[in-house]
Amino acid sequence: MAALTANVKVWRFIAAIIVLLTVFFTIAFYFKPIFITFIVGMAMILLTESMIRDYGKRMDKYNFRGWKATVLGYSLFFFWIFVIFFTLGTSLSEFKDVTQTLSETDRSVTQVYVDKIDNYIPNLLKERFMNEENIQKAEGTVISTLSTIVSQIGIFVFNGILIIPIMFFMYFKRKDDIIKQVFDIVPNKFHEGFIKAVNDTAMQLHDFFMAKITESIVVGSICCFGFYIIGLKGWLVLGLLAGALNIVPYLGPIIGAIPPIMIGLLDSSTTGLYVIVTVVIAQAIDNFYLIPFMITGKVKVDPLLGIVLILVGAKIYGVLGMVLAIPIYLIYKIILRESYQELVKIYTRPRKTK
Amino acid sequence: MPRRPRLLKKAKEISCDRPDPKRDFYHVLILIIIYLLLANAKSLKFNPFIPGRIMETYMVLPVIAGILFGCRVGLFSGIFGTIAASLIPKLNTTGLYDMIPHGIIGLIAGLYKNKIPSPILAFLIIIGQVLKTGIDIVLGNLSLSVALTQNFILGIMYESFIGIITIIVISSIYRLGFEERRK
Repeated sequence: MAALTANVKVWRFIAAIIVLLTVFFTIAFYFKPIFITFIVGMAMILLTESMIRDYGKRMDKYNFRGWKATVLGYSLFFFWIFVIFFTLGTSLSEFKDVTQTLSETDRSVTQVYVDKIDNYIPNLLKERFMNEENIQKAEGTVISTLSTIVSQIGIFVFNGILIIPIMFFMYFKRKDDIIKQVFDIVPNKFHEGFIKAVNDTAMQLHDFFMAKITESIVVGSICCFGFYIIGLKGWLVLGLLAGALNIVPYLGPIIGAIPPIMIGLLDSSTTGLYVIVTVVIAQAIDNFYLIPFMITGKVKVDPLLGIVLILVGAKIYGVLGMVLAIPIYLIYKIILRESYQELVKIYTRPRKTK
Repeated sequence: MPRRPRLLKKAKEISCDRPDPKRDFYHVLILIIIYLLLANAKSLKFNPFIPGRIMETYMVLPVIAGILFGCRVGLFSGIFGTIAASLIPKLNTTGLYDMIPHGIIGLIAGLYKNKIPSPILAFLIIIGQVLKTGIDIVLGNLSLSVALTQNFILGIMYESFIGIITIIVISSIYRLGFEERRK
């Protein structure tokens, strides 16, 4: 690795870039709902682009060309739209059943815990951590967090309906025009570095978001299947929730597991136990198979650094900070690396003598 | 005479993948476990068109097995999975004779997995339902007059529709999550 430059001008520019990036992200986080909608839109665009590319490869493999591939493509498109609406509709109706069950029952989770589980907990744990007061506080926190998430879903859905279709149109129809306009603004001498930075950033973010989406879909599917087998009320919505919350590092799987465990315990302690087993199996497949093969190889972040970034992100911006800590680090890393290399080339160029 | 070589050529094109006994054994074993889990599933739904009939969920498994893992896994999971599920006395939604339609559709799905896209192969479930109904009629479990009623046909189409959606969704998720790394 080459030694860092001692040129002050280079470091002044690097400092300015860090400040600009920090200001940009601070403004983005200030307008959180729009920023989240933008991120969700980008994730959906990446997923759609991967699906289109994969579809093209498969059609070549099956030797399906021309009108056959087009008809099948459009059929699949409408099929997935139908599946999404069908899933959302069924989830909403099941969610109503679940909330009705919770409101009809005359016992809270704390009472179920005291009746059914308390006897199995060692006294040492009961005195220090798992006493009735702490369980009641945890129940209250989980319910209020979930209520906050549900209440904000409406805002995000509204923003999404407005913004995401426009993002899709701009990306798939006018991507080349937008890239050309951006390149026209960038000075010629920075073109090479700019292209490399944009390509690297796009590739890294693509790999990261694809891995996270795939992880969530697979974990959600395993949970849906497990909850279906157990006969858990609202299996579809609870499985999808567990999958969606898996995006949040470390905390997400725990938060996602709590509602199905609570509802399972309200049914019977056996159902609660089966729910825990299902969640453990899903997380085991995630941590021992998906993450090593899908994320670690593609996203070049040291595991220890990743944990530190997530903790810092959690401190500064909460749950959103935890989810976006690594992508933001990747953006900083790539932009600063490319900027440094270009600046070093420019400011350490030997001067032409007359 | 000129037709024969073309038919032979087509028959040779449609064939099973190279056998990998260890891998195929584990796949069949996992699918048998899934058959047993489905046999014990508590979230069962009744067919809204056919009174008293529980929705047939197993039939998706051999088709998915054939599409993802090949004809051997499709065939053997259809046969042995059905045998295992029929031994569960609790629900008894499937009989031993169901291994015939399950095995056949699993085999066909595996044979054509490299020739036909999986969303089209998912329609094999309709063939499975027709075969199963045919076997029920032959064995006397179902009368022909009942099988030809509008409600029964609608019920079979409804189950097939749900099965097709399940096959496409599950095979897509599996390819997204577990085949991605092989690229």
